[in-house]
Amino acid sequence: MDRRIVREIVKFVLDLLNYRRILSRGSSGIAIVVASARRDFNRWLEVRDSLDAGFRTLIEGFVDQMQRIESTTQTRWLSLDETKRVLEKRLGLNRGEFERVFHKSFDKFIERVVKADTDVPQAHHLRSLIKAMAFYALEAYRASDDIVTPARFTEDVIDVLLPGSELAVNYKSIYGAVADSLKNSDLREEVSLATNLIFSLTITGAPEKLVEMVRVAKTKTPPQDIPLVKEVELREILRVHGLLDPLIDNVVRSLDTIHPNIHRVSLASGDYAYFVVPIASVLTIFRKMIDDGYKELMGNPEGLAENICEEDLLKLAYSDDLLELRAVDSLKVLEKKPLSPDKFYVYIYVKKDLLTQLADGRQTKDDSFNEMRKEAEKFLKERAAHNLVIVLPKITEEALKGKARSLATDNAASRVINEYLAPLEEKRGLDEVARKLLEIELGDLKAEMGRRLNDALAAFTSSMRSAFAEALYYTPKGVMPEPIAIELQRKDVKVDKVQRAVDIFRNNLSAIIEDVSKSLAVRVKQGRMMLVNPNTAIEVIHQTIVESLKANNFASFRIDEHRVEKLRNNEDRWIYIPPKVMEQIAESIAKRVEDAFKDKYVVKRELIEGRYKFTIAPITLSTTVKPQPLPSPPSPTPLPQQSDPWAALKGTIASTIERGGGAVWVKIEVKDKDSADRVIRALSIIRDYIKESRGDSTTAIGS
Amino acid sequence: MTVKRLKNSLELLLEKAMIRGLSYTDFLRLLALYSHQSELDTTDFHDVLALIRRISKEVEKAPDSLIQMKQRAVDIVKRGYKPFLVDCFGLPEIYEVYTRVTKQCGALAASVEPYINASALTSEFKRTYGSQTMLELAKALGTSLYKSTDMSVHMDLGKPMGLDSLLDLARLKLKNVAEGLVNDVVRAKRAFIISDHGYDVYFSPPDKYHLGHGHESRLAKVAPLIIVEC
Repeated sequence: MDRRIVREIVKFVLDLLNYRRILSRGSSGIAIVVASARRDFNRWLEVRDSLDAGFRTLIEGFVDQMQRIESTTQTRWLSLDETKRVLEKRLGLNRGEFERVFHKSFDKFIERVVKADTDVPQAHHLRSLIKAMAFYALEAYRASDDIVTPARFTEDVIDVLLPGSELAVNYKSIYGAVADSLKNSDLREEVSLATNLIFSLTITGAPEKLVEMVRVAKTKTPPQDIPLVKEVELREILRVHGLLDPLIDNVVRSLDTIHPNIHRVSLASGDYAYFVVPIASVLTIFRKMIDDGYKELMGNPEGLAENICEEDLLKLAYSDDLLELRAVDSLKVLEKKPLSPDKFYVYIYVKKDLLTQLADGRQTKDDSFNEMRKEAEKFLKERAAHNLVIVLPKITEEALKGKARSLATDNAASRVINEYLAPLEEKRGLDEVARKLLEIELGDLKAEMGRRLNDALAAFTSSMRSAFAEALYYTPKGVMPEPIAIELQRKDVKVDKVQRAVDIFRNNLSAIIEDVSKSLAVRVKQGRMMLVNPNTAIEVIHQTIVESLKANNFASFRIDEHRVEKLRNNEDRWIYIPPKVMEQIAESIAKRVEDAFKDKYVVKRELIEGRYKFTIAPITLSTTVKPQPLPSPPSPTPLPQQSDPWAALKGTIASTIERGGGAVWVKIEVKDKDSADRVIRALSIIRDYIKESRGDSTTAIGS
Repeated sequence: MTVKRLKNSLELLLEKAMIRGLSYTDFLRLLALYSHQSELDTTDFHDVLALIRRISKEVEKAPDSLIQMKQRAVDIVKRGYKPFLVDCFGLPEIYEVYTRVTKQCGALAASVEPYINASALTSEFKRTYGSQTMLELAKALGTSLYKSTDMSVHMDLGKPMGLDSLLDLARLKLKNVAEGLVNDVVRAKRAFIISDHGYDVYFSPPDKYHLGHGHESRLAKVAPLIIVEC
C-alpha cells in the first residue's frame, strides 16, 4: 500500500479519536479493530528507524494510542483456541466443528505457525494458515477421508508457509524427489502419508533453529511445538488412515532410506523422531548407500561370485605340523607337487570359470559343479594318496547375499567416515549448520554404524559358511565324498573411534577367513580319512595288533611308514597316521600290547629295520619245563628269493595293507625249465588265493 | 634430490615387477629372498631382485626425509587431495596399490614418493608431525587410520614361520588392507596414502622367516606417500 495512503488513514483514525475525546466527555465509546500480518508488523520494527521522522512519529503515536485504549500487549498473539475459532469461521464451519473435521495433530502445526517466535516467519500468519488448512481439507475431501490430517500435505502448503523463499524451492525439490523415489514402490500411498506428515509438521523457515531444537530434544523432553514427528505420533495418524500395524512397520522401516533429507533421531525419552530439513542426513545417506550398493551388487551375481572366489576363497590357507590347507585355482599346479607322507593336504579347488556359472543368478549350476567334481575325482585317483583331500566350494544364494551385504556396508562406512565424520574432527568440509546437525546425529550414526558393521560381519560369516559343498577323499575304497559344514564364531566391531572403524571391520573380515580356514581344516580331517590325535591312533592300532595276535600269535607294524586304519563300528571311515606320528607312538603301542598279553602270554617284541614284530605264546604252569620260544613268524621277503611264494605274497599284501592298501606288483622271471615250473606253481597258488578271497568278504583292508 | 632418485628406482622396480606379472605373493617372496645369495638361483625374477637390492642400498645411504614428507603432505592436502593414514606399509603393499590403481585408473594414476624414516619407527614419524598418537594425527588430517598392518607385522607375522605360511598370512592380513585402501582412494578420486614406515623380511635359520621393522631395518625405512588421481 502506498505510504501516503497509510499516512492519511492513520491520521484520520487519530483525528477521529481526538475529536471523539473532546466531544463525548466520557459518555461514549469507540470500537477500533486493527489487524496486521505478523510479517508486516515485524517489518515495521525493522525499518522504522530508516523512515522519515514525520511518518514514524505518526505511526508510533497511533500504536501508542492503541495501547492506551486496550490492554493487549503488542506481542500477544492468538491462542490455539482463538485461532481454531477464526479458522472455523473462515473455512465455513460451525462453531466447535473444527475438532470434528481436523485431526488433533494439527494443534502442533497451528501453534508453530501462530506463535510469536514462529519457525516459519515467512508465513503471513493467519492468512497463510487459513490457506494451508483449506489445502489440507481439499486433499482430504478428494481422498474421501473421514477426518482431515496433516498426512494430506501438498506442495501448495510449502508455498503458503514459505512464500517466495529459497527454502521453499529446496523443500519442493526434496518433496519432488521423495515422490519420484516412491513412484515404483508397492507402498507408495502408505509411505506418502508418512512423508507428508513429516513435511507438514516439520518444514521450517529456520533450519538452524531446528538444529538447535533437535539438540535440546536429544537431552531432555522436547516441547510440544518442536518441529519433530515422534514415531508414536506418526503411527497414530497412519492408523487414522486405516493402516494396520504390520503395514505401518513396513512404512516406518522404509522411511530410513527414502531420502537423505528425511532425518531420524533418537530422543532423550528413548523415542525416535523424524524431521525434514534441506540438509542431508548422514545417517540416511549411510543407510541408503548400503541398500543401493546391495541392490547393485546383487544385480551382477556373476561379478559377485567372482569376487567371492578371488577375495575370499583363494585366500584360504592354514598349516600346522601335520596339516596344510591351501586354495588353488587349478589342479595342474598340484600334479607335480611332492606330497610328504608326514602331512595331510587339503586343497580347496576354486575353479573360477565353473563356480561362477550360476543357475538363475543364485548358485553354481549343477552341471558346472559336477564337472569340477569329476576333475577332482580323476585327479585324486591318479595321485592315489590317502593324505590328500580336495574340498569343492559352491556359490550359493546365501553366499552371494552375505558377500553383497558385507561389501555394500564396507563401501558405505568407508565413504561416510572419510567424507563426513573424519573431516568433522578436522573442522573442515561442511557448513556450520550441517556440521551442527551432524554433531547432534553423531551418536545415532555411530550406533547405527556399529550395528550395520556387525550385521555385515555376520552376513560375511554366513556367506563363507555356506560356500562349501563337499570334500573328496581318496580312501581304500576309492574316491569318496563327504558333505562339508563348518562352525564359526561370531565377530564384533565396536565403533569407539570412527577413524579406526573401517580398518577394524576389514581386519575382522580377514580374521573370519582365517577362522574359516582353521574350521575347514578341523572339519576335513574328521571326514572319510581322519587325521586323529596320537592317543586315538594308539588306541586304534593297538586294537588291530591285539586282534591279530589273538588270531595268529603274530603281528607287526612299521614305524617308518604312514598307516591307514579302518575305524571300527564306523562305515567307510579310516584314519591316516603319518610316519612322524607312527614314530612317536610306536613305543606306546608296543607297551600297551605287552600289557594286554603279559598276564597269560610270553610276549616277544622285536624292532627290526623299522618294523615292530610281536609274537605271543601261552605261559605254561610247570616251572621245571623251560618254555620253548615260539618259532619266528615268516617275514615277508621279495617273491623271487622266497622258497614259498605264497608266504612271500602274503607278507607283501600284509605290508601293503599296513600302509593303507595299494597295488601289489608281481615280477615273474623265467630263466629255465625249473624256474618255469616254479612260476606255474606260484601262479596256481595265487589263483587259489584269489578264489579264496572272493568267497571271503572280511579280507584285508584295501582289497 | 634423494627422494627423486629413490622415486625413480622404486617406480622402475614397480613397473618391472608389473611387466613381469608378479603377484603380491611373488613380490613378497622376492623381498624375503633378496638378501640370501643362495636362494637367488631358485627364482626366475633376477632382474626384479637386482632392483630390490639396488633400492636397498640406496635406502641405506639416504638421509632422513620425514620433514620433507610432512611439508609435501600439507601441500597436497591444501590442493584438495584426501589423505589416508596407514601405520606400516611395506613394499609389497605399495606394489599392490600401484598395480591395482594403474589397472583401474590408467598408467599415470599412481605416483609413489619414497621418503626416509631413518629409525623405521612410528615414534619418529609422530614426532615430526607433533602428534602423541597416530590416531591424533588421523584426527588432525581428518581421515581414517589403518593400523592393522602394523599390528599384524608385530603379532602374527612377527613370529618365525615357514616361508609359505608367511606368504599366506601376509596375503590375508596385509594385502587385504592394500586392497581396501585402493577402493577408498579410487572412490575419493584425488587422494594420497601416507605411511610412517614399511617392514623387512628377516630370515631365521634354518628355514624360518618373519617380518619386522626398527633401527636395523633396510627397506622398512621407506615411508611411502602414494598420490592417486583417478
